[in-house]
Order: sequence, then structure tokens, then C-alpha cells
Amino acid sequence: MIKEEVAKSSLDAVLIKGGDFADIFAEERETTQISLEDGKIESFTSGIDTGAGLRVISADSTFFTYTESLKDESIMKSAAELAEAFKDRTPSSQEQRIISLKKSHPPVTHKVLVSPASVDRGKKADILKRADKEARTVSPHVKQVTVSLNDIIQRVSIVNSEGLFAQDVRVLTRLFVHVVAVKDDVTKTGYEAPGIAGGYELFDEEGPEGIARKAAERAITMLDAKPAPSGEMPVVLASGTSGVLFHEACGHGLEADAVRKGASVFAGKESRLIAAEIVSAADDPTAPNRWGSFSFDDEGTPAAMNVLIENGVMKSLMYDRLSAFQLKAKPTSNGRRQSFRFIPQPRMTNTFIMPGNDKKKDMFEGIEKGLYAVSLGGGEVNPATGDFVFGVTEGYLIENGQVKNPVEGAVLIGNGPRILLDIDRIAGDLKFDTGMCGKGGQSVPAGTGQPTMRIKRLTVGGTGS
Amino acid sequence: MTELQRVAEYLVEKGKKRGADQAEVFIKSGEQTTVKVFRNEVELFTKAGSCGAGIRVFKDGKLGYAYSTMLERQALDNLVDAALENSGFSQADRYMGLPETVLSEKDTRATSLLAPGFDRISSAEKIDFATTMEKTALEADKAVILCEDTLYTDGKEHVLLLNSNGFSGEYVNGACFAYTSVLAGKNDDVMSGFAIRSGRAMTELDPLEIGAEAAQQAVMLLGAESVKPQRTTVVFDPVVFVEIMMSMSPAFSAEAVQKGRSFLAGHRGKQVAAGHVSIIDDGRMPGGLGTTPFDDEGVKTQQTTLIERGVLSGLLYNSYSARKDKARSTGNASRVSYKTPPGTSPTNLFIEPGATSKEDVIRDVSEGVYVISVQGLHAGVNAVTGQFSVGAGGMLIKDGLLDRPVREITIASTLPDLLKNITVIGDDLTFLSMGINIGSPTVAIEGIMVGGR
Repeated sequence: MIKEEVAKSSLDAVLIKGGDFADIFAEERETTQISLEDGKIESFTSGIDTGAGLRVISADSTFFTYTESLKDESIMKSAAELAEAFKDRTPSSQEQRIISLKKSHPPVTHKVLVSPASVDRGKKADILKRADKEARTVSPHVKQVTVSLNDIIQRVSIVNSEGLFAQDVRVLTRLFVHVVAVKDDVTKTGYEAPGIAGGYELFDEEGPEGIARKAAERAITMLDAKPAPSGEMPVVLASGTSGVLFHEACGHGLEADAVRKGASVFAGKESRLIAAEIVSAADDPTAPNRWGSFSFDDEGTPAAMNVLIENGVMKSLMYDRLSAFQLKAKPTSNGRRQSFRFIPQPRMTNTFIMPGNDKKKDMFEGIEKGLYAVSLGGGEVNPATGDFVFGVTEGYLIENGQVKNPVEGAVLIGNGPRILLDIDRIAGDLKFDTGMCGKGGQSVPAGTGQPTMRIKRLTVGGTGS
Repeated sequence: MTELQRVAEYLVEKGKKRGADQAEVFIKSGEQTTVKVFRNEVELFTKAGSCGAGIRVFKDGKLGYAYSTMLERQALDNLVDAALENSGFSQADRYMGLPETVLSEKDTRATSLLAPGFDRISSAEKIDFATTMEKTALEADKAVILCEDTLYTDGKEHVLLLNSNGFSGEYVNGACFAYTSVLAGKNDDVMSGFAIRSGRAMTELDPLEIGAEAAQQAVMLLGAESVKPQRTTVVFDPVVFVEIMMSMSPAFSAEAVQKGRSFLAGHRGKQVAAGHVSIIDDGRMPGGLGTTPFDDEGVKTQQTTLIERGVLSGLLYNSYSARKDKARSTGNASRVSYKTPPGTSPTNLFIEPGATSKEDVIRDVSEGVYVISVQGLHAGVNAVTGQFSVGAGGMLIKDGLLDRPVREITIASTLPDLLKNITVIGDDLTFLSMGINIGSPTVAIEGIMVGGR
């Protein structure tokens, strides 16, 4: 994708006016995006996106540009322009020359069984039609089904001024099924969106039918929902999609850039107890074919599992190269970027709470009034304060230790560090889910995982009493 | 003829030659600069240009789409082939096709919407702007600890659209936005404040105002606590209600209504909001960040009243949804980039302002909450079901005055109820563009469930 000679001379050119570090991220991305609505495949899109991002870091300042052409002369030209922009701001430090590039060997590879490139268009289109058909058989109340299928083959080459040369191929496949159900005056929606860092083997285990059925059943269940209660109460979070709560409420605060700026509630808490002792958590891009997995991160750091919290004690942050350098730590394979058009940031890969020893059935015991959150619809957090908000897309009332009727419009609102301390039961049924995580205007695939667990008290906002 | 015009013509001709009934090319190129500062140093400086093309073909009523950043001859041929091949796998729909109307020369060569002086602003001035925002915030109050993120960004884009129905048009547009997020602390309590502005050029924005507002917000919220659950009146700051309208806006798309994924479906001509509420989309609003001469499939933009004195009187159409309803396109075809075929989106969407000042809106409330920030909009607002429940922060209102700060509260209602229960609309119409340019004044709404501890 980028010739070794071009890479070396570009890096030299970038650093000619000074700087501590430079890198180039070259990328070729092929995508397919198919969407279906109203029972019809409405659009079938394929695309090619190529380019290279060039960066130079001097002390705490980053200067960045990109080119959408991978031609030798385009990369060289961008390198020269970057050196010029950079020159205006910071005086030169010592001169550097890149002697040689050393090819890195991937610590793990994620085997793709059925590459998107090997699946013909007709077969891809059939997957959407099958999902649509199945969702509509679930109930006569199903009124609209939207399905989209995305696959991506992303080839990257990363070179830097320390002589690193890493290559990776990331394949991502994801199906998104969204169902609208209507009964009398009530409209509800349900969705499912499984994805893997792999190909069309995504559908081996659970065909498009199974995925569609889940989405439809969620919408149908919610048709009978009553208004959610509001107030403070115990909340049981089901395994799987609730992992996004930890991701948002705690994970972002453990990203090193926020800590470096003093803008994280976890700043200065290393080796301290930040969670209940039953809580351990990790970030792991090595898990085979998991949604947020890869062989190298987007700065060429080999993928490695990173334990964040062990028995309640904070063990590590998540670093990219810059934040690791600033905080005198080692990069932890969390340097990720949306594409060559963006700079790397410390980002989660697959973040999860480790399984505990409690039984799922004991979760509800002793709860007079509480909420069982089965599916969360994503949320938002302020890493500086830890305050978060989450919409519950599928939730049930808990009364006297029993799971009762579904509830609508529930919002979980609380504070990340506080709920970490308030987790009082964790079951062994760890499950993962997929999402797209947004930060600093960039979106990357992120896996989240969690066993069923209970939070002693959390504020639930709803329209009921 | 420019290089990009040649590319577009080549693609359309090639598409027809290879068997497309209709072909359309959309090319967007541009240049963007982003500056981030932290502790008076440049944290990030980015400057780069980009360009890509998307081709939409129709064959036997079936849509095919392909895009690429590579615009050499061979890549263009592949692009046409891919789009045509893709069309073979979508399903025929008799409403599909290019818009029929061909605009006059003056509508399509209208050209530069760029604010005067846009190109003359230097990188150093942009860095100064961001630095000034940060400095203002840091010096605004002793309690301010730091500015977590301070960013200025601007971009210029050139849109070129050509189709086989004879449409050919292009324009140049520019926009910028700037924000800072501030942390303030006192006795172990840390709160954050945020202020953002958008405009057509840096010269329209005031770094002092942004910095001061973010700092003031963080400081004002110090010592905030939750409240007991209650049903009460909520006064929304304009920027907050802009965000809510942003989440609500997909419901105004005719396509969403036709497909039953809008809470407004079946309400055309009916009362959907309080009688003094009017909501308008205006694609030709002078100086609006969403103003363009034609939409993303070449239909002339226009002003469309969506809600007129509480009655749902209009919807947003592109050519597809218009054909379906035997209506005319309102010029609201829109694409996020050259990577997607057109969908529907507002241009400059706003609530018509009232005559009451913000102070008087608050003065009218004996008990309630003044909301200055909301969280969790993308999960908490559902434009299909009308569900609305989000987290919020702000100030309690007591006897018409701001009382103590509140945090960790939720506000819950439904979108239909929000619109119907608007009691007062302020005179302070404020626009903010985050992808879509939306404007709202201060708005007071009664009967909202406020949750807390």
C-alpha cells in the first residue's frame, strides 16, 4: 500500500523541521451497505475509500494532515506540507533520520471464514429479505421492518519514526434489524444489531431469521409496557447489552487522555479501590473475532489484553502512544481512529466486566421494588464527573423479588464511580454486545460485555410513580 | 470546464452508455482546518483537503449506488460498473428516479455562499481564537479548574451535481463552529459546563462569549443536587431545545411518515402542538448555515411550514417521497456525504419566536426547572414512538427566580405532549448547526415528569 522507501523519506521529510515522533497510517477500505425497508431492498451501495494520515508530535502538540491518494507523490507532498505547517509553531529539536523499518509480527490474527469479498451480491441481498420476512411473521402488529447489512474490508499499513512497520486487515460484518410494532394507539420499536470482526460466518450460529425475531419480539413485548417508575431503586442489569453502561460510565474515564488532562474522575486513583471487591474488568482486542478486535491497533501497537480493575482495585488505564508518553506508561493497544482522516485517540476495544460467582436467580431476591434492565439503548457520560444517563429499551418492573410487567421510558441516571461501589451481585453469565462508540467526533466499533449484575441503588427516571 | 466537471460528465455519460436509464453524480470536495488548544498550547492542528464522488443509477426502476475517493479513469469505470451491478440486486419501485425539474441557470450557478473573508482567516488567527476561548473561561471564575476540550474548526465545501435529466449545478459553502468544555470545582464537587456556537465564518463568532458562557455554566452548577420526583414546568434553554428538535426532526420527513416510522404519521392537518407554535423549514434563509440553492438531488430549495399555529400543515419531501404522495418535492433531499444516496433532512429548521424575553419566561414560572443541559438524547428520544426521557442539569425555579442548581435528574414526557404543552415561547431565537441547522428560542413546557432521588 505504501512503499518502504516512500514511507522512510516521507517520515524524514516530516521531521526535517523537528519533532519527537511521526507516523503514517495508510488505509484502503472497501464497503458494502445494503438497506431494506417496506419489504424492498431500496439501495445497494459499494464504496472504496483510500488515503493516508500523517502526523507529527512535538512535546504535547500534534500536527496532522491526510491525503486521499496513496500515490507516492501525494504522500510525499503531504509530508512536505505537514513539515511547513509544523515549522510555524515549534522550533526544531535535533534532526532525526529513519534508518530502517522493521516489520512487526501480529500477536494474534482473527481468522475470517467467509470473506465479504467471496459472497456474491445476490446472497447478501437475500440475508436482508430473510430477516424482513421473519420479523413480519412474529406478529400481525409488526408494521415496519428496516434492515441494513454492512461489511467492511479495511487494509492498513502503519509506519513510524521509530522504525515500526505494521500491517493489518480488519474485516467487519454487521446486520441491523429495526422493527416498528403498532397496537391500537401505541407504537414501539425494537432492534438487534450483532456484528463480528469477521465475515459472513456471522450468520452461521444464528441466521438472519433469529436476529430479526429478537428485534420483533422486543418491539412486541414493549407494546404492553406500562410507564416506568421514577425514583431511586435497586437495578438488575441483564447480561449482554447492559455492558454499555460500564463502557460509558466507567470505561471513558479510564481512557488516558481524560486522565492526563485531569478531566477524569479516575485521575490519581491508580492502585486504589475504585469498585466493590467483586468487580474486575478488562479491555481485550485479542478475543477472537470479537467486534472490537484487531491484530494491531491503529498506531501499530500489538493487540494485548489489559486488566483495568482487579477485585475492585484500579490496575491500568487505556493508552495510545501520546498519552502513554505523556504519563510515562506503555501504550496498551488502545490507539484507535475512525479512518486515515482522523488522529488516533485512546479508545476502548472490547471492554467487559468479568464473570462473578452469584446465581442469576438470586439477583432479584429481596427487592421490594426495582427495575430489571434487559436492553439499554446507549447513553451518554461526562467523564469529568462520571455522571451518566441511559435509556432502557427493554425493561421490567421487579416487585417483591419477582420480575413483573415490561416498563417503557425508563432512564437510568447516576454516577459511574458510585455505581462501581454499589454493585453487590455479579453472575457468571458473561455475554457480549456490539456498538459504535463516539468520541471527539470519531466513531469506532466497540464491543461491550457484562454478566447479569445488581446495583444496590440507582435513579430511574420515568413518567410513572 | 474544471477537472471535477469533466469527471462528473464522464461518469454520467458512461452510466448511460453502460445501460442505466438515469444517472446522477454528486461530488463533494473541501478543505478543513481544526485547532484544539489545551493549557495555552496547540494540542492539535489539522489541515487537509478531501474529495469524493458518488454515482446513483436507476435501471428498470432499481437503484444502484457506488462511491470512491479515487477519480482516475480506471477507477471511474469501475465505479460505474459497481453502481450498475448493485442496481441489479435492489428491488424495483415505481417511485424511484431522478427529479424531473430542471432549474434555471441562475439557480444552479449561484455559486458562492461563502461568507466574505472566509478564505482570508489565517491559521494563526484560528489558533488565537481557540486560545482566547480557553483563556476567557479559565479567568472567568476562581472555581474554574481547566478547559477539557477547546476546539475551533472550519470547513469549505464545493458541491457539484450533474444528472442525465439535464441538471447541472454547483456551489461553494463554508461553515465553522467552536466550543469549550469547562470543569469547575469546589469542595470535592466537580461540575462541567459547555458552550458552543456555529457560524458562516470565524468573524461571526465571539470567543469571549463562548468561554464566559461555558465557565458560567460550570460554576452555576456547583453544589447541584437531585430533586424529588415531581410533575412540573420545565423551561428549556434555546440550545437545549435545539438539540431536542434535532432528535425530533426525522419525524417531519414525509418518507418516515409514509413508512410509519414517525410519531406524526396520520396527523396531517390535525392539531399536534399548542396553538401558538409554528415550526418552519427554510432552505433559502439568508445567511442560514443550511441554505443552498438546490438540494442534494438538484431540486430548488424553498420555505416549508411544517406546523402552522399548532396544526401539522407540511412535511419534508425529496423527489421519491413526493412521487409517492403525488406531491412536489420541497427540496429537502439530503446526503451525509457522497457515500450515500439522498435521504431527507431539514435545511434551516426553527420554531417561530414569540415576544417574551427569557427573563420573563422564567418570571412566569412559580415552580419548575430551568434546563441548561441534557444527556442521552440519542437513546432517550425516539422519533418513531414519540418517547422522550433524558437526563438533565440546570437550576430550580422558585417564584419566578432561579433557585439552586440541580443534577442527576431526568425529564420524561412524550414528543406529542411536549409540543402540545408549550406554554410560552421566548423571543431569543438561537441557531446552532450540528449537521443540521436548527433554531429555537427559550421554551417553557408544563406537565413534565421530573425524576430524581
